[in-house]
Amino acid sequence: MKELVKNKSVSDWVYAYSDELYSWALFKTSSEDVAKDLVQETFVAAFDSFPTFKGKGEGSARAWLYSILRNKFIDHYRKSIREMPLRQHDGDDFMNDLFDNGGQWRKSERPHAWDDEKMLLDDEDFNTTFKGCLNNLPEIWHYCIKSKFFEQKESNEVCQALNITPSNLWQILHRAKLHLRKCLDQYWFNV
Amino acid sequence: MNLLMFSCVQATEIIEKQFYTEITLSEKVKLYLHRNMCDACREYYGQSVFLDQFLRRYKEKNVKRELSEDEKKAIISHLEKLQ
Repeated sequence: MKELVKNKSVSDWVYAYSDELYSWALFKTSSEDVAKDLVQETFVAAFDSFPTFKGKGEGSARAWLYSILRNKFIDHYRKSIREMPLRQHDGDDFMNDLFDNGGQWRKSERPHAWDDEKMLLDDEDFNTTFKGCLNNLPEIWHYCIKSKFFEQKESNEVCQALNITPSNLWQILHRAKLHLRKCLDQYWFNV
Repeated sequence: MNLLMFSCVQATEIIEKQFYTEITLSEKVKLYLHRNMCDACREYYGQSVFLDQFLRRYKEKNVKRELSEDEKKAIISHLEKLQ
């Protein structure tokens, strides 16, 4: 009987809350696959620890699910950070493509003037290209840009969430900006 | 490495760093010298300021996205298997 009650609630919750949990996860991760996995893991965790939740009332179900999802999301990023050596390496290759051994711009990569970029702030097509470039960033870089600019978090808050040092963060933001600049150069200004 | 001069990679790093934190006097001087003689980094500086402004204004639309009926059923059947 108990099992039945649990099943009923959890599947009701899937119908009631999975869409908004998914929206949130998608905004945070920009990846449909990762967002879907996080939502599923959230319900699995809710299912497992249902006895500890029971009796706290329907109103807190949503808050409870969000708190599980938030933790799943942080775990996900901590895990990505542990895989950082590899990512860092990818970043090095990217830097070698832009700069020579002496740290000077490679000839083909030197920035040239952009035309009328100030006019583009409200240009819809430009915004679409920009969004494409943002989504092209490696996941951790994207997360840092989002936290810093869109959610306006303090640097130490971002560092804490990812368990990295401030100089790691600046290095990531530096590379992310170089990446964005190159992407816009390629897909907008030189088209 | 020249003690007075930044390379381009260092210059672009300091250009980014100054958006988030105070840079030292020595960094300011070296950046100033570098920007005076490097066209590419001068361009980079302007574009980086533009990107910074754009990012600060840019609001990623938090569009409501939904899971399909099948995806919800998949989660539920996954949960049922766990018993």
